[in-house]
Amino acid sequence: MINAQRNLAFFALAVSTALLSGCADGGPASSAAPSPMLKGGGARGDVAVNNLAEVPRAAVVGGREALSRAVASNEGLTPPREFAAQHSKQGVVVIEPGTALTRVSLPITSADGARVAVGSFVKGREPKSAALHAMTLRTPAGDSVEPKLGPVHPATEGEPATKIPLHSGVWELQSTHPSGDFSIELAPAVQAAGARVLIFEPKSTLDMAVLTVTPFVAAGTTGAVRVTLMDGTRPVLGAALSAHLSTPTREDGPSVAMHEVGGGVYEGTVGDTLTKSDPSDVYTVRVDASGVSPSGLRFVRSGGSAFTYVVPTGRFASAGTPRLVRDASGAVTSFDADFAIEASSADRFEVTALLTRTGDDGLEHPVAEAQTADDLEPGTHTITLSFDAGYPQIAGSDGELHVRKVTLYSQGHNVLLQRDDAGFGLAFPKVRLRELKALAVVPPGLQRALEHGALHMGPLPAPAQR
Amino acid sequence: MKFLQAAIGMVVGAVGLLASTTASAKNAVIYVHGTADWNPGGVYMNCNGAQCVFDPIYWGSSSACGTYSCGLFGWFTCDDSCWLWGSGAAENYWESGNVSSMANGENYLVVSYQGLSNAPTVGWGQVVDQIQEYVQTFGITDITIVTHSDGANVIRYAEAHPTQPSPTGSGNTWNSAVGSRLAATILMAGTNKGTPLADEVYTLINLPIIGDIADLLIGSAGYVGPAVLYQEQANMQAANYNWTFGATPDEGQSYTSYWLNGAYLWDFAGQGTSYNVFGGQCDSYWEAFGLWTVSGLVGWNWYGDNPSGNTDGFVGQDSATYIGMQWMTSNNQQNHNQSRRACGSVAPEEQYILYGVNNYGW
Repeated sequence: MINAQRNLAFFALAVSTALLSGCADGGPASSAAPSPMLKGGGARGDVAVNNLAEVPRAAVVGGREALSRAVASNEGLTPPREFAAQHSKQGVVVIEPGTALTRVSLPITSADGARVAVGSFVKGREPKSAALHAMTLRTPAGDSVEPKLGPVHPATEGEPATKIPLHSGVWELQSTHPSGDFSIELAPAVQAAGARVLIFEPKSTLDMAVLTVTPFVAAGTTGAVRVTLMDGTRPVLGAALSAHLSTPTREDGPSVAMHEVGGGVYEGTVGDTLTKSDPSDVYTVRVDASGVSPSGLRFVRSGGSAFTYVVPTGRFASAGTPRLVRDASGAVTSFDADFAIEASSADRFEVTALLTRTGDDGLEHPVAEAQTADDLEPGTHTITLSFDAGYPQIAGSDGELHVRKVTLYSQGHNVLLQRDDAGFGLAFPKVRLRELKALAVVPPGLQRALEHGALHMGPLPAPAQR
Repeated sequence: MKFLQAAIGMVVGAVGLLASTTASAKNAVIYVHGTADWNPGGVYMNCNGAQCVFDPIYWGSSSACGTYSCGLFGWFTCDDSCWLWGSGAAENYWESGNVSSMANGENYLVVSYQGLSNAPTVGWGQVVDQIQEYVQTFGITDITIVTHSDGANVIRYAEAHPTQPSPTGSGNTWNSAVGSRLAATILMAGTNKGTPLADEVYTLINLPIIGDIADLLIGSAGYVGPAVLYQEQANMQAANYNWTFGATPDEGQSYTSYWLNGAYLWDFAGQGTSYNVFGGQCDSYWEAFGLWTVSGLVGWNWYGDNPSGNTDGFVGQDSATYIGMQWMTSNNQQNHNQSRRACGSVAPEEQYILYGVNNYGW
């Protein structure tokens, strides 16, 4: 209920502010707005491309389509979230098909709560239950480990309550087990089919963090992948790393050469093996590491991180001066902004942006979103974003409105081409609330938000717990 | 203070005025399932109250039921009777009684789409096509969308790119199918940040237990489907970062997305107080067993020894609450299967949805 009150008060304050500031001057474009012309040949923003590519015509077509809709946030805008490293406390030991080995070593740095499971390479060739039953996991001292048991089968289902074997080939270790090199005895069927053995050590201090330092890699450029191996606060030195790309269809791609930088950090280069004929999409860097921890225990770790590979088919060439569109009565019906798109290939381009106002809390809050898409041939074209004035009107927005989070997206190739979080610094001329034309029809979602005071992106009134 | 009162009065008055603009609303709840292939040629459940009709235009006839995989009820218990259920996602994924109950007397549509064979960046096309035909056929004006699991990503993609034509070639867009009709999207157990299960599917492609249980969870059509692989956590991080699914909430996401939360909702364990998880009240012991096994392998709870696991056995709480606003809270444990089904005497998620529809709906 507190949230409900807060939201209602917030909305009321917004309206109050609008009424109080009703005498604010309107006028031409804000003098504070920087030049809308883009710098550096059109490349700007946290995702920016310069090296346009000519690729086959995108199959997606749909004609020009534009819309405007309400958005709301009471938290205020933030930059795109940090691209974080993926952490791993698991590793995989590979048993090649046809191996003559009858026993394989499994290095475990922390047995407490560790899980071991056996899988195989090809569906249909996996070791069957009988083969898995014949395998034994042994501690470093040679003692066998009992397979994991499942939960009690409820007697309510007409069967006696009992614990069942979790499936052969799965073990869970305990804190009483020692750390070190466990071993698994292979059944003949496993030797023939090969296997992959998962070792998961949730309580191990040995962590592998994989980060694609460059979340976006444009064709013709390269990025970096960084692997950090730490055992608590101690860096893991001299580890053996292998890495490769995984394609968007999850097929194994080219290897990524890794080298040790020092301090537990290892790096490699990505993007150098991709060409403009490779599809724009998300690619994953898979990393396997093995070595000896500072405390002298052998370990294995497997993990990965991903990046977006972009073959740019277009970019923002310039952004025109934002303008107010008025009807015959003088009411502002929309806030329009033109964007010149330089297309190097035939594609369907989508331009999206937010319209924001500064709230009483001093933060910028989005009030509307606009999106326009069109099929463009190579050349330079204009795409216009049109924000319906009814959304800032219903939110009680007054004064200067800004364009933020401008994106250029390829609908033909499903990839983000360019993004400028600051919206190229575009700002609309100041306008009075009473000048804004109200919505002819209020969408149901917006009406619901108004009724419940949630317009500004706060939680709904808290219901009683059930 | 007077000014504040005047402002509130203005808001109330405005709301009253606004309400009149939708007096002739025709509401519908639309259910979007998660990672599974449900053949769109199956039975079309368009129910208005007790009257259910089949629409052969898009969905074909019930004779197509034989093409279904056994899906969620497969592997352990699959036999010929599985095929006879044959009403696609409405029966095998959601259960028809449950979707009817959640709709609370409103019209509803249960979409069926290739949600395993297609990544969410593609699978949304069939969903939009079906919504468009449904909306036009029945004159729907207000839509509440309820998703489960990867259905969240399907809707997130479509909503983020409302001007993109459907990949099916129909020319339909989210804007034309849903657009301003959208009242809310309720994302149940959404894999917005992916799931460790998808990571392990890659890591141990054919680990028998992963494979078989993945079959159990997501259909025997092949668990190494594009949608599963897409839900790898690293992949989803990149996709979220590059705004494939639109901006995140603090980056300007629409206010219409909600999720569920609760003290124990995400505390999936295996025994003790979590009797409901294996209680057999709304899913089979073996389904719960599958979730329990998988969650343990990826580091979540086994025997409740890791209460910080915060999972429903398939997706983590952090992933499910990544986007949108909290809809309401719950203290009832629900595993990933139970959260979309009726659970006997225990308050199920359906009641939460029902609660929301009653209290925040039309």
